[in-house]
Amino acid sequence: MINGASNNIALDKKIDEIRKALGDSFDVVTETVSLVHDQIITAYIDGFIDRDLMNRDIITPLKNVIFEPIIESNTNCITKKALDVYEFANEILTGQFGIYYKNEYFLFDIRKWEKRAIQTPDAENVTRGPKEGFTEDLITNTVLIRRRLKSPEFIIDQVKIGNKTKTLIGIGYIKGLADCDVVSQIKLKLQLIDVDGVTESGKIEQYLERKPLGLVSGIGLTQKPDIAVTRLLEGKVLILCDGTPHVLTIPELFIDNFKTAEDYYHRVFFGTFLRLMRVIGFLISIFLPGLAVAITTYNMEMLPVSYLETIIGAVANTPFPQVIEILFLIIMLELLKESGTRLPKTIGSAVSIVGALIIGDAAVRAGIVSAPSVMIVALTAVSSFIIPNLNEFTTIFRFVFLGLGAFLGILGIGIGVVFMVTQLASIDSFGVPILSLKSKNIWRDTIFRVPFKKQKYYEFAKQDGYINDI
Amino acid sequence: MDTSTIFKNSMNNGKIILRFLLIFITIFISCFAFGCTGGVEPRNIAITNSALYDLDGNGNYHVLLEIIDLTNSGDGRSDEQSNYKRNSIIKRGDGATLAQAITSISDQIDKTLFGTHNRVRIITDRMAKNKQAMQEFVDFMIRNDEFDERPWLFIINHEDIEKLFTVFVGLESLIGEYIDGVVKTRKLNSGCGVFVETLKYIIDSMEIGQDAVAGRISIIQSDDEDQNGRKFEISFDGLSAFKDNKFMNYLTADDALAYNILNNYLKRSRLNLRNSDLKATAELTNVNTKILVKENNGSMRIDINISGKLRIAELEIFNETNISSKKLKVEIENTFEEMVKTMIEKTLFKARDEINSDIIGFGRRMRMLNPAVYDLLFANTDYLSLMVFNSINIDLSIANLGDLDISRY
Repeated sequence: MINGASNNIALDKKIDEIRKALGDSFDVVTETVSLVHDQIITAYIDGFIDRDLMNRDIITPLKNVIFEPIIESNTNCITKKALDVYEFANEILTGQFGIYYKNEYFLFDIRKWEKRAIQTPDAENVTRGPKEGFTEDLITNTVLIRRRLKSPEFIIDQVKIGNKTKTLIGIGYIKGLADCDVVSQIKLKLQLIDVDGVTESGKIEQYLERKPLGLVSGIGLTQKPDIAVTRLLEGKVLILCDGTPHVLTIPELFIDNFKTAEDYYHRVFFGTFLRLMRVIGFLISIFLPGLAVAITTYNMEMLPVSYLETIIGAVANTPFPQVIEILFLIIMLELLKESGTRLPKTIGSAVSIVGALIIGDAAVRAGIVSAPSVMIVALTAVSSFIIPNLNEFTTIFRFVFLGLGAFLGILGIGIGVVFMVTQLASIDSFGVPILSLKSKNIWRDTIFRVPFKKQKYYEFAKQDGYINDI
Repeated sequence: MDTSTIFKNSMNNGKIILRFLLIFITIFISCFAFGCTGGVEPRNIAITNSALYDLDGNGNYHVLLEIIDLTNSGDGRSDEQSNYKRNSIIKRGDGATLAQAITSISDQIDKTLFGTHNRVRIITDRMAKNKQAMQEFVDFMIRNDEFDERPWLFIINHEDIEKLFTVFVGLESLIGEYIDGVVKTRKLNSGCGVFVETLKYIIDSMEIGQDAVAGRISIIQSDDEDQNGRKFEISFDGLSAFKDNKFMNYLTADDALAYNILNNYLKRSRLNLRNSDLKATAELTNVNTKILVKENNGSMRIDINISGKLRIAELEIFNETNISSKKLKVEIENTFEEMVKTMIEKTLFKARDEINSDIIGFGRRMRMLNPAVYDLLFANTDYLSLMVFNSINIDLSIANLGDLDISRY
């Protein structure tokens, strides 16, 4: 009896120790389970494990053991041992089920939690091609990639980042295709990240880039597994972050922003046409407002006289200079975009409609802004949605070029172009300048897309026997 | 942080500050060096469509500007634009210099004059005859960036100034637009007029061994009045010949055609032929002229070879029945060749002997081929008297006889 009482006191102490290591939250479950001869302590985070599995494959078999149980052999799950209570607690916090028995810490991987189903990502809609998108679960994401890339050369290394969050980060690459230097640089940089928590890959992106003040990081982004596989086949490295569907691709050349997965599913000419449209859209979204103001303020001789007459007729009764009109409209547009993104979808679309009505019609009718200015900003807005990955870059430079165009005219636009190209040229992504066309086959898949037979990853695929020799 | 790290950081910060400082200095210098501070809002401009320059006997310049009136142009919406018809106002300015005259017009209107969409520039013959005035005109055009050099340049009889702004303007409502439209059409279809941009005139007037030409506008009485009571029309036939930047005289439509042929400017033109054997109208196309200028015993020997194609549009033969016979074809070709040769000879002799002007630019060709000889023999003399037209060969071939398709009648 004395032995039993002292044993209970010891177990209570151990429970206290474990709870202390785990943080003593309400969702931390520590229970004493009585077996035939002895008692064990179970510890887990509520909602993190599969309770049915726990009862069926771990607790029930242990209870049925008549003799002194041997945890490894008397349970139906793979068992791992932790060295001390701290490792035990850390593993439990990642979702494992733990048992303490006779000064030993046992861990069982029976993780199960609620997660979002695989859905089509909003930002990368396609008319042709796979609709699947990454989810917030790292393992689901690796499975989505692995299902498309059944090669032993595809490696996913694991790193934990975040002193508090201990977020799992996967580094995916294809051995032999990816640059070893880039892979080792990424690993090193990730290991050196000293931060309390990482909740999204955007934070990792900012730790990895060389120029934190640059407007382009040289790191790409995708939410689609088919694009991720395409990038892997191009020799790039993926960074998958647990808890976010946004997967980083490294190194990302500037030209890669103009590519989509759909380009590869369409015929060659149409794919090339779409890319050209994206380039035109990018140029319009950056330059159009600034160029319009520069031309209508300093270089009106560039416009046909009939168009100039239309502009004069349109702006004759508006109170502000065109630069103010366009600035006002662009700010309105950014406000609408921001509110539309943050609000629930149903209200967001209502805000867009109200905004469009205010800007497009009421503002013109009230004589606050002119119709050509609305047209310019509308065209800019439409073009800016074509390349969502460059949204930050185009938005900031749109304001820069608007200012330069208003104060210095075409010369200002020229100065801005020099500044922008210099800025882009100074950025590199893990040693690869983002404006470079470094790879030997890259000309074949830039603005113009040549047939697959001429492309590099076709050769890789052919070597591995994924497709028949043609 | 140790001292060396702090030093390194401060050095880096210094570099960044220096870099930004240099960028700002560059922008600042660019801004003021290129004069990028004179922006004008579109609503504050007055677009000129045509300009007329005149010089009176007292040495005063008179400038008439046709300014597009945009007060009824609407706000750009289609329903209000659909009935919009452009109007213009004519503003006159006087002054001792061209700049003064134009400034006096600026003073009359509440907007900034915008001359870079000007279509036509017309100079009166009495101003064109004044060499100093023309030099001032060229100087003004080169220096002033508010007026561009592209407008067509014409010379008009000074007695026709009043009539100019009351002429029939076709489907247009502005003189400048009308003339611009006519020029663009006639450049393709007729060689009887010469159409020169102001810049071309300026270049030719400064060229060594070349005299400039300008277009010719004459106001003629129309057979009937239009609905606005306009009874005058503009004729564009002929050209205005200059020598040393001074207007010498007008040349005829045939001279203009010869000028266009000799300078390879001709796209297409109709030739009418009538003699005792045949009556024919042919379209002259694909003209290719080669002028060879050589020095020969102190004179400038000129050989001209012209080839072209004829497309028969109308043909009436008084003696021959088989119109496609080879002999007849050759005969027609010879007759047209003779006609063109006569026309060109007449123009060349008129330019050399009567007007005393090298409008074709034989001197320039000589200078390009052999600058040393030109400088030695012709640069300091009036080389026109030394020009010898050694040969003029015309080779016209009939490309299409225009056979009748009987089944259609």
